[in-house]
Amino acid sequence: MRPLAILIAAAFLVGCGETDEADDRQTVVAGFYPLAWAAEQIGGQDFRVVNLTPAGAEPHDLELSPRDVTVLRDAALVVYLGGGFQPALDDAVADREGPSLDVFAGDRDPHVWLDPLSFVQVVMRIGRALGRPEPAGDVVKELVALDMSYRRALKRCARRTIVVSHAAFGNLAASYGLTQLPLTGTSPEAEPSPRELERFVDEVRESGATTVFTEPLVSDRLAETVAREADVKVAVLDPVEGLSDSRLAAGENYLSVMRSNLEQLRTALGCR
Amino acid sequence: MSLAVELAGVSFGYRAGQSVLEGVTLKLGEGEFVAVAGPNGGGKTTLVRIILGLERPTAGTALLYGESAHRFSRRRTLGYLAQRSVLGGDAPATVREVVSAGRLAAGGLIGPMRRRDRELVAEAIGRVGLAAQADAPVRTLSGGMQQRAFIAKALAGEPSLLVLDEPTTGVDAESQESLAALLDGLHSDLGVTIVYVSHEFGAVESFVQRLVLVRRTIVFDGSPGELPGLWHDPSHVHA
Repeated sequence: MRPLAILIAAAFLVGCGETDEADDRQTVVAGFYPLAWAAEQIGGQDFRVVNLTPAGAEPHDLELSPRDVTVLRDAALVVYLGGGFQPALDDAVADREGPSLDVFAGDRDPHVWLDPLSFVQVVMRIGRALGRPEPAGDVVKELVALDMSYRRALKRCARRTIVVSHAAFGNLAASYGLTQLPLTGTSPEAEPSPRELERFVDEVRESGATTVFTEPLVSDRLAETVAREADVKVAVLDPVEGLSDSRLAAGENYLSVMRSNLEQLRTALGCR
Repeated sequence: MSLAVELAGVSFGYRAGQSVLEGVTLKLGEGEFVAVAGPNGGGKTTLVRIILGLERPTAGTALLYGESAHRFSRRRTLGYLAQRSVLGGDAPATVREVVSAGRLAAGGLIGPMRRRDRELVAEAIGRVGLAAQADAPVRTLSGGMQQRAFIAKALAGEPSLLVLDEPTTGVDAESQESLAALLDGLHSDLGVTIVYVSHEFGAVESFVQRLVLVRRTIVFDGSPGELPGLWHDPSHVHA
């Protein structure tokens, strides 16, 4: 019934876990942070989860080292977001023999983890692939609680447009009745021309927004220029694509970042 | 394995001398995912109605979780998608409202939804993959998405038995497959017993452990792989 789980078991029997002598658990490779977080929550102590995107790095830019390629080859499962989100990984997965789980569902906006209820589907699929539906159910409950707090907190707000430095928040905006005004496209480093910039400053003024959101992993220069020209504040809205080592060490995780994003949104939108 | 459904020698006829079902004996264990297939007019819907206690057999016994089906006391644990569960053209209800109705029905009370109810509604919407459409009117969705909304409505009641009667009517082939995959996932994630009734079973064939073919009586009961080739087209099923 669960061919992937059987394959994982088979991989285990023929002796994977050679990647790390001190750790004979099966390895799950995740393309970037939110998938790694979900795999860790679901896999618990039984799996070693490797996040291919280095802590604090931008996942779109992923390049694979020879060591990464070895880890990928030997992993019991690879969980990744296809559809060109991390092109280097799409190629590596195609060369792999073991099972891989592409959580891309053909959405226009690939940032599914930024909408808690949309992320539920991803979590369920990882749970099935690892043969662990119950821990996945626990994560689903946390995501549902997160959805409830977003829904409640963003119900009554003075403004409903969020100005963001990259179009990562479309799913989140759609779920909570907000409008996203992105400074660039869905990949953060496609910069706009001066004319586009000028038009953008006008749009920000017209929207009545009081804040331009930047993100932790990308240069603020563009957002700061727009904010200065449109005379609005700059604040951070984290697309949770990667957490630096120091933030992870400080106990931050997907849920805590999503909650602090909610606080940023409430302040910027004037929610009661 | 304890039994969700136990039919013994069940016959049913609307008029004397014309039987729709005859001598049906069927045991479905808790947690099974079973497809019930057969030609149109072969008695599938009657069988479902007897399983759910909506009709009483004219002969034989029908038990649900060990209780007489038509007097079953825990109705709220049954999720049922009747044939053609679609919304009338002008109904303005959103996905969230339709799914909430399933929660209210299961609670057996009319009143404000409690936090737990709202959570179960959100969870059901997330599980069927309609998060992005949660606040869209159901009538604006495709047939396949509407079907998912009604599955979420059933799930919101936390059913232990989910019965779907011809769930793929008016749904395109691609949506039929994703519906089948969704049910397979719900089955493995939630351990819910699923009875999938259809005149054709191609979409679920790879997921179900067990296939029951009905044509007035049970003409096949086994794994889909054991089915003789000719019978893959249920119109060829002989009584």
